[in-house]
Amino acid sequence: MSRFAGTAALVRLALRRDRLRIPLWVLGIAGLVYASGSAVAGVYDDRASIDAYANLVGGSPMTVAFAGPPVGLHTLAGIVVYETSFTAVVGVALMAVMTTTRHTRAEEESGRSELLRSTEVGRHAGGLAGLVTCGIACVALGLALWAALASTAMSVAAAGLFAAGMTLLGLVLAAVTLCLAQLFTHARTATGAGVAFFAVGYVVRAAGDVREDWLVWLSPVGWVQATHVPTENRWWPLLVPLAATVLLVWLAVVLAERRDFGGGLLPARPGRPHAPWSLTGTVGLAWRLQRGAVLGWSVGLLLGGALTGGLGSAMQDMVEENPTLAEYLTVTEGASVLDSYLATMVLILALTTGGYAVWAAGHTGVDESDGRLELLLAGPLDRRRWMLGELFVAGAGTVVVLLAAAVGIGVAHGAVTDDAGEGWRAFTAQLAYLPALLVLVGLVAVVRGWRPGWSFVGWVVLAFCFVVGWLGGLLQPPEWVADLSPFSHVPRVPVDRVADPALAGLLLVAVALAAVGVVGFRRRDVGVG
Amino acid sequence: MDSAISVAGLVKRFGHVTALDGLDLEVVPGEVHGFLGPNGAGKSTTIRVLLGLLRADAGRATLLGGDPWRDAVALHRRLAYVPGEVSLWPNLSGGEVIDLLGRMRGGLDLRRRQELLERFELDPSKKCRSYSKGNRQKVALVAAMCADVELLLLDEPTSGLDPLMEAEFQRLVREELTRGRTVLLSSHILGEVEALCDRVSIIRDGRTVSSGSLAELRRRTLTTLVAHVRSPADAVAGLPGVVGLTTRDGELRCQVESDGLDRVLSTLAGLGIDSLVAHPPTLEELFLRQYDEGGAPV
Repeated sequence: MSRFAGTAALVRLALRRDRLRIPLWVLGIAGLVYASGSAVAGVYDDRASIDAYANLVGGSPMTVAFAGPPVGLHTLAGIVVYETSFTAVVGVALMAVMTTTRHTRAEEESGRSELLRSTEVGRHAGGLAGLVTCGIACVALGLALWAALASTAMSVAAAGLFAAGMTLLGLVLAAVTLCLAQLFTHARTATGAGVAFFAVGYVVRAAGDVREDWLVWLSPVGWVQATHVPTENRWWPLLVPLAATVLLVWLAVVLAERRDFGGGLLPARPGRPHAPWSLTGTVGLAWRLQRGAVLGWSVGLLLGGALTGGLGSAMQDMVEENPTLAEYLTVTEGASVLDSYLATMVLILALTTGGYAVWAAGHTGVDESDGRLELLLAGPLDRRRWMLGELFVAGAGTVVVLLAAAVGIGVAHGAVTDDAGEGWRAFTAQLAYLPALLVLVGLVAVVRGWRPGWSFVGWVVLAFCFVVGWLGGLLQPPEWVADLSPFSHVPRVPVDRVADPALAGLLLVAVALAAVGVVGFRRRDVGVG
Repeated sequence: MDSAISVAGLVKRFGHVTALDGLDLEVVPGEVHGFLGPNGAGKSTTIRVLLGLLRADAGRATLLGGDPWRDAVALHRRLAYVPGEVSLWPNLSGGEVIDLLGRMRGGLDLRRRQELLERFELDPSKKCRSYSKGNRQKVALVAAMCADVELLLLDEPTSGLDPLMEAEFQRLVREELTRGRTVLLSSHILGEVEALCDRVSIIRDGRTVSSGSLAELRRRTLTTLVAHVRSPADAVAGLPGVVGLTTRDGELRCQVESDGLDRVLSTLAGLGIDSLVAHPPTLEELFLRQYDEGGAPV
C-alpha cells in the first residue's frame, strides 16, 4: 500500500490548515438550518396552520422543485424538513466540492504538493487525504445537523436519518470532485465542474419530483431524499450513495494512475493568443473580470425572485385561512397581506443583491494587493479614470443583478395572479432599491479610496443593513440607528408608493460617496497595505 | 542635456519604517544606468515613487523633466515599466495581457509583438495562472518593449529568466540603446550590470552610497596585484596605499589604492619581477565592499 503512504500526515496537515474553515462551514450551515427550522416551528404551531401549509404551499410544483418530495407535510416535522432541505443540500454540496478541490487539485496546481510528493508520500496519498478531510467535514456537518434538527420538532431517529443522508451526499460529491480533479489541470475548472454536476443533479431531481417518476433515482440528491424523512424513514436508499462513493473512489484511483503529476487527463483549454476587441481599457478589463460573477448572481436572483413571486398568492390564501400568520409577514396595518409579503420579499432580494454590490466594488482591491494594479497605473492611465471605470462596472453589474431579481419576481407574480399589472408592480418595487444598493457601492469606494486595508467595512455595513431590514420588526432598534441603513430610506414598496425624492436623495449620496472615494484614491500611495 | 531621472534627498516613510532616507540618483539620457543594492535597500520604492505610485515625504524627484506625482499620466506615455514581481490576471492569457496593456497606450505594433514573442519563446495562448515566474516576467517584458517610449524602468527584470533568455534580454536592451532610449536597470545579477551599464548607483538603507561609471568606481577602489619577485619584498610593506600584503615562496599578494600604484610598481621593478598579474576589483568585490562598509561613501 505504499501508493497511499503518508496519507495520515497529509490529513493532519489539511485539518490544521482548515481548523477555522471547516468549523465555519459546519456551524454556518447547521446554524442556518437550525434558525429556519425553529422559526418554522414557531409559526406553524396549530393544526389549522399546518394543514393550510400542506394544502397551499406543499402542493405547488414550484416548491416541490425547490425543496424535494412533499413528505409528511401534515406534521410539523415534515414542514421543517421541507423548509430546510434546500439550505442543507446546497450547503453540504458546496462544502464538499470546494473542500475536495482545495486539498487536491489546488495543492497540485500551486506546486505545494510537489514538495510533499518528493518525500515519503505515495501517489494516491494526496487524493485520499483530500477525500478523508472532506469526509471528516461531512461527518461533522452530519452530526451538527442531527443535533440542530433533533432540537426542533423532529424525532431523534428522523433527524439522524436526514443528517446521515446529507453526510452521504457530501461523500458522493467529494468522490465525484476527486474524479474531476484527475481530469482538469486547474482547480477552478474542477470546482466549476463539480458545482455544475451538483446543479444538474438538483434539476434532474426537481423534474423527477414534480413528475413523480424514476428520474429522481438518477440524481445523488434524489437518492438521499428518497429516505422520505420524517414519516417513512426508509434507510435502504442510502445504500445507493454509499455504493456510488466506493465506485467513484475506485474510478478516481484508476484515473490517477493514468496521468502525470500536475497534469490532467483532459488538456487545459488554451486561452486566446490575442485579446478580443472588448478587452480594452479599464471598463473592458473590469467587465472581463466580473462578468462570470454577474451571470452567476443574476441566475441565482432570477430563481430566487421567481420562487418568492410564485408563492405570493399561496401566502395570501394561507393567511386568510390562518390570520395568525400575518404576524410572520409583518403585515402593515391597512395594507393587503400580498403587498406586505411582496414588500418583505423585495427587501430581502435587494439585500441579497447587496452582497454582489459590496463584492464587486471591493473586488478592485484584489488587483492592488496582488500587485497587478501597478502594471496598469505605470501606463498612461489616470488613477481617477481607472477607479471610475471599476465603479461603473460594479454599478452596472448591480443594475443587471437587481434587474434579474425584478424580472424573476415580476414575471412569476404576474403569471400566478394572471395580471400583468400586478407583475409590473412587483417589478418596479424591486427596482426601487437600486439607489440604496448604489449607496453601498459608493461606501465601499470611500473605503477603497482612503483605507484600502479596511475592506471588511462593506460587509459589516451590509450585515447591519440585513439586521435592520429583516429583523428590524422584531428588534425595534431606535429610529436613528435604523436610519443609518440606506435600505431604511427606500419606501416600503409596494405597500407605500415609490417616492422619487427619497430615491433621488439616495442617488445623490451614492454619487457623492463615489466622488469622495475617487479623490482619496488620487491622493494616497498605491500598492501598500 | 537635462537628466532623464534626477532625484535628490528623496525620503519615503511607511509608518515608522524609513524606506528612503535621502536618496540621490542621476540618470543621463541615452545610458543604461545600473541600480544596485541589497534586498530592502529601497530600489523598488524609488521606482514606485518615480512612477507616481507612492508619494515622497521629502526631497525632489524629476522624471523626463516632469513631476512624477503630478504629471503621472503624461509621463507614463513616455516610459514603460517591468516590475520585479510580476503578477498577472490568472484567467487571462499572456497574449491578452500584452494586448490589454498595449491598448491602454493607444495600440501596439503587432509585428514588434510577434518578434518579441518569438525572441523570448513565449506562448501567448497560455493562461497566466499556469505561467512560471520567468514566463510572467517575459509577458511584462514583451508588453514594455512593444511600447515606443523614451525611458524603460526595469526592476530586476531577469531574476526568473534562464541564461539563454538573459542573453536575449541583453541583446534587446542594447538595441533599445541604439534607438536612443534610456534604461534604469535595477538588478542583482552583476554580470548583467557589468555587461550593460554605463554607470551605476549603489544604494543601501535608502541612501546612495556610491555612484559613477564602473571605471570611476574601480579607480576609487583597490587593485589586486600578484607578483613573483626575485628579492625579498619587505620594501613594499612600508609604501602608502598598500593593504593586505602577504608573501609566500616568493609570491607577493597585495591590494593597492590607485594613488599608490606608481610607487608600488617602481619598487617592484627594482626587486626584479618574474611575473606580475594585476586585476581591477570585480563588480562583486566592489559591491560587497560597499555593503561591508556600512554605507560610508567611498
